[in-house]
Amino acid sequence: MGKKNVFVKGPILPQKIANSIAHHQVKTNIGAHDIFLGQVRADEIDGKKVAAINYSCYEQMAKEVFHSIREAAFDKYDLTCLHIYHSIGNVKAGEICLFVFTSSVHRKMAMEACRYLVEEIKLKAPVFGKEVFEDKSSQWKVNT
Amino acid sequence: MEIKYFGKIAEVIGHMSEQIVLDNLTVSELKKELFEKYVFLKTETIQVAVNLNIVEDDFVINQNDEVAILPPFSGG
Repeated sequence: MGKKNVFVKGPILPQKIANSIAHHQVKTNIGAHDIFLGQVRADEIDGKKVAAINYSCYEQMAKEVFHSIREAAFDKYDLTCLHIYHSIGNVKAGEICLFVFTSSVHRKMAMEACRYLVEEIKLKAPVFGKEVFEDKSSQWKVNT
Repeated sequence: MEIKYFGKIAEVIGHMSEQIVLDNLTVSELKKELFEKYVFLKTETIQVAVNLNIVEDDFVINQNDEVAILPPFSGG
């Protein structure tokens, strides 16, 4: 099976999320979707506000990691389908940087799988975010 | 072997990759070499990936392996 590209240049637009929902309306065996949206937060650090996060990644490794996270989720949960999109490059505060979309016959599987995927992505995906402040200075973010 | 750097580490070192002539050494031996070359790395939290997989300190690296030095992940 080919390894899907999860990376989107810049922010994930609300329109893309709406379109993804629309695409699933033909799959009438689905009874529940769950969606997680990660949004860039305008943290204030030492009096400076985060204006954007600039994401970079180890692309070849990220492809493998996202693929195995997907496979593990399909093994663990009874899912009809799942989609993951992550931003690369610049994403401004308030914009969406991660979109995880799970679909199943019933809600429990969709919800549990969505949570699992988000935690796995945060833990295992070799993605690096640099917080860029309003004055253009920056610092590298660490997931907590 | 080719060593790739990412995120903060690439930024401080000033390049994304370099060729280093080393063969058949453990990850901890490689770290020791790199700590001498780039002193700041000693105090950084890093993980090492070989051929796209995270490996432990006792893993043995060969000349043709692709090695990456990774700072903490911050996706999502």
